[in-house]
Amino acid sequence: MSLVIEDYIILSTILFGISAAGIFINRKNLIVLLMCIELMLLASSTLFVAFSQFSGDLNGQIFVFFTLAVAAAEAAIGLAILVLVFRNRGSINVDEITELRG
Amino acid sequence: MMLDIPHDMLKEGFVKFLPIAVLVAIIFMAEILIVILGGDSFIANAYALSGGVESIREGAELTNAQELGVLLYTEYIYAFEATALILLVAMIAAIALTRRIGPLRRKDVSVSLAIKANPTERVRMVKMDSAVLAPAPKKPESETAVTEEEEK
Repeated sequence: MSLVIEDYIILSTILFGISAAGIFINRKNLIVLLMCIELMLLASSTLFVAFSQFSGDLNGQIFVFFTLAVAAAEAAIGLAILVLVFRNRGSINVDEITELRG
Repeated sequence: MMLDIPHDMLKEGFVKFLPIAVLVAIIFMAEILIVILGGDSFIANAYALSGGVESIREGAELTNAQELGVLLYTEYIYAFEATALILLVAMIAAIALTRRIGPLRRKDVSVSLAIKANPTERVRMVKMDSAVLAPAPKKPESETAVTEEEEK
């Protein structure tokens, strides 16, 4: 049996839903939060590539190209901020990093 | 600016390297101007060497990566260069954020200083007599009486 576009839509939606739930559930670990954000970006990128393949238009894949580059840059800066937060607060528990201290 | 860099150290070597810098700049500018203003013969040669962009656009069978490459370098070249700039800025930001400034945590001596250590310049032998304890000075009687009264 060959794949139809609905299969890819279901895959992307499930991935996106899992990562969105992960952002809400996970309150203990800042690293897992960043991973969930990356997974959301990946889910939408998968959908872009699937639609680009099924309609023969290459622009979707170019868009994924640039989306992934920007996601990599954002992940790098997010991790740098995480390192700084850990240096100053001493924990990566999201519930403990709730106050803006001067 | 707000950085703590001495300005005369920054401008050092400017006059010394100026003629070589001007020469290199002139060579680079001449190369680019020859290609841009050289007329059609130069650009036609470049096309012929690369196999001709026309053959790609004639609908030949290309792999997915080749098609993406053609699109990236012709239609989306502006976004491509901007993405490269974004990645550069992200790298600089990540390094600048996690840099530790200040004295080193460990009391390490730099390796070059450690290698240059020499017993003749680190240790100096001095000849002196062995120490002699000086006798305790004799206090007058009135002072000891006063101290005994203060202690009580």
